[in-house]
Amino acid sequence: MAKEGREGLLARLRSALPQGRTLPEEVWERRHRALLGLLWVNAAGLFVYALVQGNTLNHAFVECGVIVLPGLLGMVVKSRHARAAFVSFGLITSAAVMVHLSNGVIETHFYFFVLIVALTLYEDWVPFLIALAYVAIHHGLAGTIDAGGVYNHPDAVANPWKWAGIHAGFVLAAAIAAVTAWRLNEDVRHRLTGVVGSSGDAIVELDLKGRITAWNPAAAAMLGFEPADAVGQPLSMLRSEGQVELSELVTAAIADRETAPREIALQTKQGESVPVSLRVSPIRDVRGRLLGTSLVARDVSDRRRAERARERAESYRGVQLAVAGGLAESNSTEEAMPRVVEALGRGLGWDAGLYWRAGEDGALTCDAFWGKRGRELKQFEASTAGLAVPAGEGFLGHVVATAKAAWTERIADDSSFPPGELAAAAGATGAVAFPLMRGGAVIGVLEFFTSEPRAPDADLMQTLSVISDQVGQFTARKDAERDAERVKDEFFGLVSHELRTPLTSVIGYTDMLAKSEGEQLSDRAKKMLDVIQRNAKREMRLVGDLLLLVRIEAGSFDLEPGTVDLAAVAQEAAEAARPAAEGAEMELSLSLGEVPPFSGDSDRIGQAIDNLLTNAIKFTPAGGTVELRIGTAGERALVEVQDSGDGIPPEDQQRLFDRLYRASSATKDHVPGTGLGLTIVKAITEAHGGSVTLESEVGAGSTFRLEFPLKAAAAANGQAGNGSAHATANGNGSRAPERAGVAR
Amino acid sequence: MSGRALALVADDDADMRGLLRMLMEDEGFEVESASDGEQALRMARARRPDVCVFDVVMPRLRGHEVLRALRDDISTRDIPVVLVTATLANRALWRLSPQPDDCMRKTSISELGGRVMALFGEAAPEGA
Repeated sequence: MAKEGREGLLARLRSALPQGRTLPEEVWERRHRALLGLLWVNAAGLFVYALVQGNTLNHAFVECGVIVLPGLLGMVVKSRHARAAFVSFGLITSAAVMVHLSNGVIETHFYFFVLIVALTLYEDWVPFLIALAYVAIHHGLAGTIDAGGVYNHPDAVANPWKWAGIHAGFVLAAAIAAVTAWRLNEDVRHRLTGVVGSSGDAIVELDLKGRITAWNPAAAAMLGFEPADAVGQPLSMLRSEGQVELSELVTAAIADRETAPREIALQTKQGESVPVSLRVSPIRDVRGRLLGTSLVARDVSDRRRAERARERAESYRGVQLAVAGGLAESNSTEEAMPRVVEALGRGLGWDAGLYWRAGEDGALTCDAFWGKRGRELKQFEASTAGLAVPAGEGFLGHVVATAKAAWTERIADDSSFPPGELAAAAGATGAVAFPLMRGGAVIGVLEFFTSEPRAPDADLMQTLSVISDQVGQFTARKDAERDAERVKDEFFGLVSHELRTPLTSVIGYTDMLAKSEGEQLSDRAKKMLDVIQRNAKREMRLVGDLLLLVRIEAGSFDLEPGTVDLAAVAQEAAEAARPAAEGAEMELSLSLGEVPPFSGDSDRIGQAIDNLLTNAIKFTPAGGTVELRIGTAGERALVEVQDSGDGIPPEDQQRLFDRLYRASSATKDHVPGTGLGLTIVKAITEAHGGSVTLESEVGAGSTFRLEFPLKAAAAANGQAGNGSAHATANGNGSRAPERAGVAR
Repeated sequence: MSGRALALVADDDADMRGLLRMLMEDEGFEVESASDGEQALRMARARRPDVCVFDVVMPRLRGHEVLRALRDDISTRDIPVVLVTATLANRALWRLSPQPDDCMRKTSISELGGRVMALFGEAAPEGA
């Protein structure tokens, strides 16, 4: 029990003592220099004191020598502790010399107490204990043996133990006070080191010369060094990347110019890059004197990674939107794929992209190409147009076979893909390809090339998979729409044929009846026949208008391009309208300006003019005039139909071209009509890339103007589609029947 | 052996067929008629008519398909062919080669006689 108690007490005592040898090197150096300086001062002072006391020069040299010699050794020996020990010995000796030279003047003993305290500045047990032992030997031993010599006091000679005890007590008190301060110093420093050491940020302390005086374990770990590697090293052992020089930041911090954190990249010992947020701050003592600088670097790679991931996610979302937009604008897969390829290529920063359509047998045909502008991709593009890759071959075949995205960093190695070499020549080395899926089947492959190969990440694969589905759904939808469209077209074709066939017979037979039997018919019968004819033709026109409107609404209204001889078309329309004009007692005039032949649909333009003339005649009172003019204005052909009618009020003008809209005057005066005419005029004109305008004033008549761009007639269509007049002149015009004698 | 020139008319609609027949007969032709494209082609090959008038939309073979078959055959390639149609849209078919000698809309079918005779030009058949 007693042993344990003693050991517990010893342990407690031990734990109350400082550890020693924990001073940072530069602090130790500073203290060492100060104490060494004190030693020189003592040596010089005691030399003078020795001479003043009347000693010989030689004696004075000897007295100083015992101080100077340990001082010199304290300068030259290598070990820090040995240097401290020598300086300690030299200094404490100087106190003894002072006592000796003063012949033991009692007050000079105080100097021992001062030095005991001063020497704890080393915070090292060796010099401290040397000094303590020296005092113990000098006072305790020498003092009791030669009390007169040491204390030079009658009482000391009488009671040497009492004097030794008093001195020992003061020495002990000074020692305890000094060691306590030493211990407290250590605690403060240690606590600070603990805080700094536990920081996840790298913390580096620099002195004013820019040398590293300390760094924490995080700094060593971040930069790939051992903790001991840095101390005393110049700042240049830390390397920054890019424009920012660390030394400039440190200089700035010393000059108190900038303390805001900077985002820079540091390089590890192994040459890797670490993005950090770095703050460089000056370190000052309590009086504001600059001691050095601190560098606190926070590793921001996680944040950077998160930022990059966010940017990537955003760009992927953008690409998805762009693809969706491209699909929305497209009416067919053929139209959509170049847009999809471009949206992906641009959005993901690839150099070039191809769309491969998969055939029934799995063979791939290149149907779309996109290449970044400014790259040498022309030859590449030319070589891929319509290129076919047999089923199952090479990189692309693998994608089709596995129905999974694939990635290669060396496209040139794929010998089954001839453009690989061209892609490589154009600067692309890597490629990524992914299948377009529809209901579990590969309907195509999108392939992209890049000059900066990087493996696709999970987000990208996810994005590509979504896009693949989008495209697959799009093609499925478009196919369904096309089927529906075809069914509809077939239906309208059928309806159109079935509606017209009976009318055609009615018109044909009544025409024939009027022509061949006309003379034999009574006036009454002729009149009836005329009514039948007129109404049958009106019905025919109406059926035509309705079917055309259906086509316009369905967006399947197509022109049959040919060459338009506008003068001929206008003349024909004027002739057709003449009976109606004469019937309404109005003058129909025709003014034909020079119009070069242009590309368009003669029948449809004729129909548009018919409708305008019919309207003009319908809405012009008897005795008025209707004029049809054609001409050109710049690069456009003009058709104008002007009447002297009542004009159209502004509120009607806007809506006149709306489907089924009828002007207020038409409904009020019960003018017959369906309201389809102008809708059709507008559709026909716009299908030609032209425009319809209307100038009208109430009471001053109306002018409808059609403008058609004068597109050069395509040579291939020059003969076709221009109706009967041309066909007769096609070279068979003067052939006689081979059998003679056709009877009438 | 009649001295009259022979016309072959084809239309799937009986009334229209009758009308075409009457129109051609009025011009002095002897007229044969067919009710679909195949029949028209067969008869054209067998009878070598002086002129053919075909509807475009007919069952089995369409008018322009009969035309193409005739033009592909050296023995029938010179027979003049007129196509008639009820719809504007059928004009798209005319752009296919070969070209007919004439095309007409059924709404103006009463002009057929004149148009056919124009094919023979100045050398109109005697008595026509």
